[in-house]
Amino acid sequence: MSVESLSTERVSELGGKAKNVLGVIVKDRWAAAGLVVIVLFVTLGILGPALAPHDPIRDTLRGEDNQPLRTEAPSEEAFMGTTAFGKDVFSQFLAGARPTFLVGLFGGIGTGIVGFLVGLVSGYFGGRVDEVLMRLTDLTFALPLLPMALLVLTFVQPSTPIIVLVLVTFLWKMPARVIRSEVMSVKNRTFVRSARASGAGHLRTMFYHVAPNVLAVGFLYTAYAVSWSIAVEASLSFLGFGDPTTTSWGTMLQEVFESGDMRDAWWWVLPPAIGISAITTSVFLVGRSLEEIINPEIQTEGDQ
Amino acid sequence: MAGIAGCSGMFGGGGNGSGEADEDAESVETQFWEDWPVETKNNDNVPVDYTATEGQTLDPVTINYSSEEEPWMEEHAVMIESSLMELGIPTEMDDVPLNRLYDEYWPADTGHIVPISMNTHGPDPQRGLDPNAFLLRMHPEDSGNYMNYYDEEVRDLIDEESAEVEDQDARRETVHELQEIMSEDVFCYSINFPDVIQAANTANWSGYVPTPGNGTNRDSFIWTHVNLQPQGDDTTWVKGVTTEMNGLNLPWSAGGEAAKRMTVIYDGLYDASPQLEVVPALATDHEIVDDTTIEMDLRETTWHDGEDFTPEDVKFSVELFQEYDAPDMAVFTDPIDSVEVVEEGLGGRVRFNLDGPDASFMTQRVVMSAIIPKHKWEDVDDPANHNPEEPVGTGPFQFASWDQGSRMEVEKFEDHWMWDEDEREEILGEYFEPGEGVDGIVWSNVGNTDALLGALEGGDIDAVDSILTNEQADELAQNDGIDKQVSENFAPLDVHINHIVPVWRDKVIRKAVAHSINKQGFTDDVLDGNATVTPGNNLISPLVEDWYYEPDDYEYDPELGREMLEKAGYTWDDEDMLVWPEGDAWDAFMDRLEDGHATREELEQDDFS
Repeated sequence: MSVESLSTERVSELGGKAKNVLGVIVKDRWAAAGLVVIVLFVTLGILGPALAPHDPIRDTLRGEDNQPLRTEAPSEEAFMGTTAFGKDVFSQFLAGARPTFLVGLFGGIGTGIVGFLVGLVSGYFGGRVDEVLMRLTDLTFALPLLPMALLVLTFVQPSTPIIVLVLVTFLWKMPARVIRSEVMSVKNRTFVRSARASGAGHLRTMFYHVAPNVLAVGFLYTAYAVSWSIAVEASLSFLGFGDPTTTSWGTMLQEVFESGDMRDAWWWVLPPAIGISAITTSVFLVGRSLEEIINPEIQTEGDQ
Repeated sequence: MAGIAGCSGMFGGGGNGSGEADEDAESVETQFWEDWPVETKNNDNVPVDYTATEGQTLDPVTINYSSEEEPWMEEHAVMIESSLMELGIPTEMDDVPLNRLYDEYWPADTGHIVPISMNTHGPDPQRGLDPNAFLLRMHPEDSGNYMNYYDEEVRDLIDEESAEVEDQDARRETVHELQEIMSEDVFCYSINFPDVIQAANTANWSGYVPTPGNGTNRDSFIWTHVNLQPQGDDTTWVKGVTTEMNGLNLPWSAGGEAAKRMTVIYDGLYDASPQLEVVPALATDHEIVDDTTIEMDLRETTWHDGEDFTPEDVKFSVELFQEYDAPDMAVFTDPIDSVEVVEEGLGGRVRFNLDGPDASFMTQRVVMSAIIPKHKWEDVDDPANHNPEEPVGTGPFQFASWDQGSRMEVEKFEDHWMWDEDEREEILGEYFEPGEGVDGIVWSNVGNTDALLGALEGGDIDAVDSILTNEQADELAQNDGIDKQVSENFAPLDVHINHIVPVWRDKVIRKAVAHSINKQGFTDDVLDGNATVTPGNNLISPLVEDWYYEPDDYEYDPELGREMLEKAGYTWDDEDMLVWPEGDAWDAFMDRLEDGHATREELEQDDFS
């Protein structure tokens, strides 16, 4: 068999898997809706700032008398209304998708990678290594995320990379635990034992034989970490500890709260609030349907 | 003048992108241009890294602010950003938390660590009483000189007016001259004096006093607190606040809010009236014996625990504040060399011997005094870290209870002179409201602005101590029984520029930018007109009537600003960003930097446009 045909086979196999996954998602109506929201969010994250009709911070919208439109309900000039200082809520919503997206993406991936590696190493080696790493996760479980993050951000100037770093530091424990238990069940299977017996080193066994079998769970938890990151970023921003140089959906909520307009200016509150809840919920919905593929037991239980 | 180094080809190349760097281009870095009387201000310790390079595009100028400080502070920073952009000066926004702004960005030892920083100033009465509170910021020996401004002429003038005790007219003339220079030399950019907008319940309470800088019910003045008259059944006034108090030690209190709330418990020697006049408090009269000696007659009154108030208490307080460095009392005690008791017993008379003549002693410093009881404090080992469980003062209210983080309560002290209607009427004038006054005050901590506004609407609190935006106040005023209250301000909103950075060292740029700031536009658009726009660049408000001088204004005309830069040899690159002068124009630029305060005309420089 030629190399070419082998790779074609691999690709078609992958394509088949993807189709299969997509099929499961599309069959689950909720998950399908979630997927649409995610695609929309990613598009906004990439194109949002470019699509915004106004500069979200610098442009002041003005009415006919040239007066700034302060806290105006949706109208022809601004179809999502304006903020207390006459900024376009629609533009802020579009531009705010990017920082939210970036934090979600990098926070999620970072959390996934760190958690995956810790879980893999811990589960594979067991014993003392496991002991040390799991005590470390216990420690991060014991520390409450928000207060700790606030403490850190009081001393360091908040910026998107720093917030991502803080998120990863506190969130990796979740995938680590799950991956560890998965690894522990995989590592005792025959093919792993025979790999070891035929002379494969620890690194090779761990990454080549064990890792692929827990990768799916890793991806799933990475996806979950995306929505955790977005939720935590919003909370931090709402408390005034977000990156002050960008407008994320979280900072939008903080601004409307600080201005005292929270109870009146629904057009300013709803877009970021709906944006955040829609994306976090969607990730969970899609994740839930994927769990059915990864862990068929769930499916059976559901069918009974 | 020392240390005019820094011109070298080797360290050039600071520009960013006006094309290929010229090998022979000269450059100049940020530096202290004089030998400062402050040891830490020297060229081994330059706080900012900013270089101007011949023929290169300007590096971005950092604009520092705290969006936490005022709801509209970011809007203001954006306004300044666009002013600089109009002239082609690249910028970088730097929004930091408020505590970092004060702790890190304005170190007293080196001055600002960025080219531009901005803020509003606190409502302390001394800033509205005497011009020195702001003029001293131009003095090289003053720790408030964050802008690193150094001009020998200005220093001498400040020394002169500060020492002019006898002849008020002569002092006034010097103070006017200083305001003229402050504005002409562009010491800073003074934008406006934002109105103090508040809201309070006026259905159940009458007698709010709109004090300048503090509005009707912030705590730096006590006039509303002693003038309020209950109209309903409730006789305890409840005020919602968002900042908690750290302790009950007024002279050594860690936080400003604690000190301010406790001014209802402790009296000073003098007080400031709502018209910003110095009025008697614990001292009833004074006599200026000579330039450095002042005697005061004291009031016959008692402490809240019934003990007599005597001159010994005054002497003890001043000596304790000095011995243990009470930060909140420094304004008052700094010039005092010693205190003597001239006449003992209830009331009595004290003499202050000053280190030197101090024109602001009786116009400002005595108002910042608080007198503490000797019989309560003399056995305290470590006054700076003492937290009196039950503070005893002579003020109109006595302490009732305090729960850190949630509330403080005080009760009316019946024997205080302010409950006497004649005394009060004399001080308050048109704002005077006859009556018995309130039985007590409660400061109740409410988490945040939104909750505060809700609590006021719901009737849980009677007033909010925060400054509100015009919109918030209008919204509240739609409720029955709640009124919007607007007071004028003597504390300016200003833009600090760091005079050691090459950008600001060139007077041409300083003046060009002054023409590029649309103060009126900002005031109308963002503050809805609720501010007094400053003519020129004066930090002294027209409310400081005795000392105010109106300088010439800088007309808003960015084109004029560009013209000024062009004549000085500046050019613009393809992206319309400003480029440092070259050749002869660079030499002229360096001459202006060396002087720092001279115009091109004064230096007889050519027109390079």
